[in-house]
Amino acid sequence: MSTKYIARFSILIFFFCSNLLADTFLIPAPYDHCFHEPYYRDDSPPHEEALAIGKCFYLAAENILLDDSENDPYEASSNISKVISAIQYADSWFRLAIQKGSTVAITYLHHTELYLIDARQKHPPQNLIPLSISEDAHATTH
Amino acid sequence: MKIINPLFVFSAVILLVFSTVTSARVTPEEAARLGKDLTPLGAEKAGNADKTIPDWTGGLKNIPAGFKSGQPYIDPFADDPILFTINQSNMGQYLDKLSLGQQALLKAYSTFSMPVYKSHRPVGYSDKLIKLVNKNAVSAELVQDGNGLKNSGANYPFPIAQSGLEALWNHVRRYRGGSLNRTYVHATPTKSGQYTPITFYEEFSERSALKDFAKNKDDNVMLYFKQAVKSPARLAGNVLLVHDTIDQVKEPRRAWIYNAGQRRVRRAPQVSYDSPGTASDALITADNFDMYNGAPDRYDWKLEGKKELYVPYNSYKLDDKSLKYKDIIKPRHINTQYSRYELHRVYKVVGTLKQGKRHIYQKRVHYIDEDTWAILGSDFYDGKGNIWRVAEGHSKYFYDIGTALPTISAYYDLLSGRYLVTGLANEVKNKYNFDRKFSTKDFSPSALRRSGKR
Repeated sequence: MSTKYIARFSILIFFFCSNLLADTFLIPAPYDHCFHEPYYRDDSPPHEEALAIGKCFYLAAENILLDDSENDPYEASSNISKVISAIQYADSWFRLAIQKGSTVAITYLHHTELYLIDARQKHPPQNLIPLSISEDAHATTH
Repeated sequence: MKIINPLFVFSAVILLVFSTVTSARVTPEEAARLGKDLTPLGAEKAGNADKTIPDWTGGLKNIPAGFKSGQPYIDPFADDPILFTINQSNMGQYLDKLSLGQQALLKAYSTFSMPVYKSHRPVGYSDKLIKLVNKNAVSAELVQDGNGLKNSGANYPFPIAQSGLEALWNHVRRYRGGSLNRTYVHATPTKSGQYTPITFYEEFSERSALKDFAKNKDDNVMLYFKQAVKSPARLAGNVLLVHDTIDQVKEPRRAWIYNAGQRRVRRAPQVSYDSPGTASDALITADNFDMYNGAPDRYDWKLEGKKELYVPYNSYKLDDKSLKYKDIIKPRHINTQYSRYELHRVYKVVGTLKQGKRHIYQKRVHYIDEDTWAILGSDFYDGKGNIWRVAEGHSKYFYDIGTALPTISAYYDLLSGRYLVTGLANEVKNKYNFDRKFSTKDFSPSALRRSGKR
């Protein structure tokens, strides 16, 4: 099993655990775990940390969209705002990472922008470029 | 030995002074305008040229007959007819008096409309408040780059606001009756209009309104706030406690959450900035509550003057006890049949995210009522600079208390087509109670557990 799958599996486990434990927002959002440290420790962290937090939100959005295919329409409608919010959080962290010198974040920001353009044009937006594709692309080019 | 240039030292001292004190009080001559050509809170007494905005003449003269304090408020303007209704098809005629957020709402939803009524300026002020504001005008100052205040009484530190930050502080520190407790419902309907009502019970007190107020105790705290969820059962018992500090950069807001399921009290640093709002289904941020709250430090705030806008005002109908929640909560937006818009002058305050700072709103525009300093409308822009969310505060004047507070607030997410509406109390017997006075003990972390009893 590749490290990529192990990483994704770990994120999923963390995601479910954090939902069980979440006491912060009353109705847990599927990206609550992304708000844990270092989110509140520093509002302007180094670009590596900013990028990692942005990726966390992006992956959470991916997961909601994956789940959506199995959900009933009520759930799916409720999830639209969560996906969009997760993408907007990711977008804001990628922008900060770029300001702090990250070049990798430029590609990710492009993905969030594409998704949000799509969201403006049609409801509900469904397509999100999987972050893993970008990571693979970076791995082959570096 | 290296000699330090005296000019350098002088420049450094000047720079230090101006970096910590970013605003000076107005002159006594300017302050003397309060109560003369300006209202006690700094608004223009005179209406506009064509009198579609009336003169301010001291506020509502008579409390409606039959009203008893503690009972539902009687609409003093119930007989006013609708002058005209703005909708998607005729909005072009009114663009100069609509915010960009309102225009976006009208463009997005063919069912969204704005019934416009005659404008009234019912808000009056007590002698005690007028005295306090007069003093503030010549003494209050912004400190710590605008993140804090000094020499200010409890409310309206800057009646003659000269910057975006000063206007924002007037909203944050506006008079809300000193202390109150209230019960209301909020909902986050799906696009098809399905929702689960969530009932909140809140207690609020300004520090100066506490029974055991001591001038030098906790003097960086401006207000205490406790919010308990009463229903539905799966959420009931969870409680949030906030001690809102004046300078939140020097001392961050203190917040705790009691989780009924775990029976534990925990610190909650996340109740700030752009963290998701309580039970909001990702439709608002923590700093969206009350239209704006919290530290202003992530934005550059600019006062872009005053505008005449159609804004939600005198919204008594939305609080009518003959209505049910389902009459107001509709798919995509509230039932605008019960809303009321009037032409009023508002301060336009624009916050632009500072370089090196982060927030999901890259820009936020607030429209602040000149008579109450309450934010009545807000437009929120995403990182790409597009309008993402729009908020409207439908307020009414509590004539027996002398304060204007939201009847309901609605936050529209234009990208998801959903919204959050909060403050509904049509099916609650008595929404507000201004009589109860609190002590610091009521807002201690140990009080959370008691409040959380299901």
